[in-house]
Amino acid sequence: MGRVQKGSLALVMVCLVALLGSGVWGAPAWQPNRPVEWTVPAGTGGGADQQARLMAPLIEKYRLSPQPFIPVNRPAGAGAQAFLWMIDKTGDPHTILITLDSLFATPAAQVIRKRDGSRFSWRDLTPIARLLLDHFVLWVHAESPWRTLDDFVRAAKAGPPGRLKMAGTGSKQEDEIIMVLLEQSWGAKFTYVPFPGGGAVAAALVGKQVDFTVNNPIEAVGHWEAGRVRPLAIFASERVRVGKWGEIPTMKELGYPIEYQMLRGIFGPPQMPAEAVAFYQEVFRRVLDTPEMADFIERGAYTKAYLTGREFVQWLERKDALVRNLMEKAGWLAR
Amino acid sequence: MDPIRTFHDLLYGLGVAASPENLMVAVVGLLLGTAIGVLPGLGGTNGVALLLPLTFHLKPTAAIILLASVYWGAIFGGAITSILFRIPGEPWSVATMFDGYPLAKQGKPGVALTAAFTSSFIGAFVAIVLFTFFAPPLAELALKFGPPENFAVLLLAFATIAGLESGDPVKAVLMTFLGLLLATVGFDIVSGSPRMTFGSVALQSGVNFVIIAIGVFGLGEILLTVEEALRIEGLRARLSFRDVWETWKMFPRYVWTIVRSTLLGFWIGVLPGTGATPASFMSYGMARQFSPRGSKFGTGEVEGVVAPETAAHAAGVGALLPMVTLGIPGSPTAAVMLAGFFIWGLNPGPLLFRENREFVWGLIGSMYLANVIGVLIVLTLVPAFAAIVRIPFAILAPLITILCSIGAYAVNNQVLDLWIMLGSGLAGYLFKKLGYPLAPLVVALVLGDMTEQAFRQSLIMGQGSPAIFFTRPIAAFFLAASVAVFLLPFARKVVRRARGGAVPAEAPGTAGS
Amino acid sequence: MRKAALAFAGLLVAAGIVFLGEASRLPTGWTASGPGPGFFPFWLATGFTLAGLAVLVRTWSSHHSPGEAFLPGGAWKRILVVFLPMVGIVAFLHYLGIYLGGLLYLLGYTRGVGRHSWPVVVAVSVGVPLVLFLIFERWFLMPMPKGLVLEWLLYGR
Repeated sequence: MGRVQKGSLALVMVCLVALLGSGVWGAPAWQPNRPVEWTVPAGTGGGADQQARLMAPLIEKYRLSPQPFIPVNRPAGAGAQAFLWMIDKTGDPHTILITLDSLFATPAAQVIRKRDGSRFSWRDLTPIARLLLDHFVLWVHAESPWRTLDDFVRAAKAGPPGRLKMAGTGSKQEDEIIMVLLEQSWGAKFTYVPFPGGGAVAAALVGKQVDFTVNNPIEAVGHWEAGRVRPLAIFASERVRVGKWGEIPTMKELGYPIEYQMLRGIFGPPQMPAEAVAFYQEVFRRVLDTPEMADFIERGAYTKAYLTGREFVQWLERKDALVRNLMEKAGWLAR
Repeated sequence: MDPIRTFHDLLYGLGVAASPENLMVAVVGLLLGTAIGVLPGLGGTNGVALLLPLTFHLKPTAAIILLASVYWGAIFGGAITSILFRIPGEPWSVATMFDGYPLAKQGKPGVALTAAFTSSFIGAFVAIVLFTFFAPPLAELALKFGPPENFAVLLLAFATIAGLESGDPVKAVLMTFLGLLLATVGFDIVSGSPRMTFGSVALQSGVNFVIIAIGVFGLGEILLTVEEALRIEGLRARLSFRDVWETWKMFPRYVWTIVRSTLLGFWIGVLPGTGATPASFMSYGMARQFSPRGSKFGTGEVEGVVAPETAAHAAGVGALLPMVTLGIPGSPTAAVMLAGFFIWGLNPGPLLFRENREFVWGLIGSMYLANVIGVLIVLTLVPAFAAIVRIPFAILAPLITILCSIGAYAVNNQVLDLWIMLGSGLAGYLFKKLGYPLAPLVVALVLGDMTEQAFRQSLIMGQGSPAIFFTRPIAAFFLAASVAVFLLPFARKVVRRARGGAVPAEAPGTAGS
Repeated sequence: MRKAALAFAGLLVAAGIVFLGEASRLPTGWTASGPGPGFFPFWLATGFTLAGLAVLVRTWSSHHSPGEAFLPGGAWKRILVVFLPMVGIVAFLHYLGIYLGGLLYLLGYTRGVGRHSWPVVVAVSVGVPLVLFLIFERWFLMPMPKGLVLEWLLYGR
């Protein structure tokens, strides 16, 4: 009996060594021993949800983790519920969060109190990685008379204030922030109509309920291909040179230095162990390299922007300063 | 649209859907979906989201058929717990409870279930035919519905359901106010700030309609049963397929209700921003107004089950229309399916019809097949479902409570919702004891925030001027219609009085109270 | 019965006043672009409170059936036996979780109230949570609150 046990033990060892050597799981020091709960700070079907539900099965398909990643929606309060959930999970290596710009805007627009009474800020969380940057494009209806951005700017300045209507997702979030940027730059005034989600926003433009939107590429690409909407400019630092997206000029090159990109990143709860952070960084770095993600990135004109460590934190600080500054000018900061 | 061409495409789609692999996928999806629909609080959205990762291993066509079948199954399954236990399995099956549960209590759960499944099937089937032949033009029309039009339609919904209650009018008004008030709790997307949350972050997700319905109806009913001395035995119910046949014999009587509910449900479903739940309530309200037995509604009328179920399933079909034709999610479930499109490498949108013929027509073909298979599955199971009520109460009650808790938690993944469920259970018990009607509460709660949001969006669009409701023809039409529908019951009374007849005393048909 | 009805109506009025207080912290006016966020909450709370007062007055002035008891004898005991354990389980959810809590609830209720035989009691109260655990945690991958006890049993620490 003893010999058989010894033999099987040896076999297990060999398998383990082979497994580690082959780097199936990247062999970091730490690995999850239970399913990873992946909080999505928005409802089902939105952009963040879409990405989490795309990446979670990819992680399984390419065996990047021994345990599954399970997206769980916590949509309340434009992210507030999800952020407090993360605070409650302090130190837990099996909890992560996918973020969008509500990470900056929501804690600025409302005072979110933690259990100890202090105010929540994204600095409480453990930054893991920046994955993608999502762009914003100025869209008008294909039948509108505005063929170029100049046409549009002229119309915006000409009419009585508030004549042109823009649909956007939510209120005091990235869409409305961009609108305020445009208003400041052009000295115009628009009417902002809030809708519950990007799909509804795009539909409002296609149905001519409003005059323009700043939909993310993926929300409007189908309508663009069908010739129902027209992109006038992209709020990126340079043209997105993927497929036909390269045709869209940037705001900057048209003479308006307005840039805005949305963070698609991963965070852990406060005091997440460093080995766990390293594990997730590796997982997501590899997810971004899968062919399915490459395809998704191209279709949605995302910019692959994997960034970790100190540089990521510096980027977050700059982004936070930008959002706070804009919200302060708009009078949306909560004290 | 060339109908012959469409017919040709449809035959092709049926062929795709009828391949052994796709058929098997559909059956699996239907069974799973029915199970998910039965669980209160868990719905098609959860089911579709759960299965999304699995679809990696399937071809896109099989994948969408799987998800769509889960969706159909959930719609069928939603009615089961509403009828058997007065616990809504899905938001739109709340209206089904109003007459379905009394039927079950009278020992006729089989009749109620058969009526629900059959009318679901008819509603869906007719809606699918409409979908097949008119999808693109209907999608175009739906795009013309902006916030002012949505507001007018929701107002029409309120008008059709007003007077649902024939008990104490003051209490009905009070409950309506309570429902509308609770609907305002949560994160207000128009102003981008929380309100009526008493400082609680968890309350920012709002007071969920399903959780309140589980509480006031389901838990409230358990408490009432307990109070009336404990029934150790389960309900006595006849279990045989004779119920199916006998219920079917009644169906020709309801042909107008079915036609009306199907058209109404389908169209409300197509509109993004309304959905199956208002459709089911509107359909119930209209059936009650038009039916000769309208005053008996709420006491176990088969027609009161037929109307909401037909509309809900037709709306379920309608909600997929903007998704397929325009790439716009018509419901949260459709939004998750759209996420799937990206996983499978498809571009949702108007070009899908042209570029992915197999996918689109396979999906449409599978709608036909899945609904036929689905209704056969659930009808075969009618005696089995009905047998559940025979389980002794002392086992059933805690079991139901645990399932309700899981469902309530799953809605927002937060514990506060369990407290809300318990609180509304106690409140529901007291309301019922003291003669406060529950139907106006849930109706106002489910329609309230949609209506307010549409109203405020419209006024923003009109820069503060309510003229926007009258200058847009579709909105104006529906506003006029809702005024007319609202006045209808009064007008009838006046006419009757003018004819010299005495106004018949309203029977105490207290729907859902 | 009458006393209970009056007390309950009074409770609703009190709730209405609390709602009114919360609503008045918001901008309740009508702005240039339509109603402010507090407009509807404020007027709905007002309507609710007034309707509550109306019910209160009507109940006060009605005179019929004064003798009827609100609850039949002993009923409140049966209700508490069902309701309090539910409250207890939610209160201790952090430790018990939904599965262990469910187990205890089923155990207590089927045995204590239903007086079923022990084999039935054990089969139901162990079987149901186990099946639910498999369904939600294993197949559906929907994490439910498992509670500290179960997490410790499953994963250690």
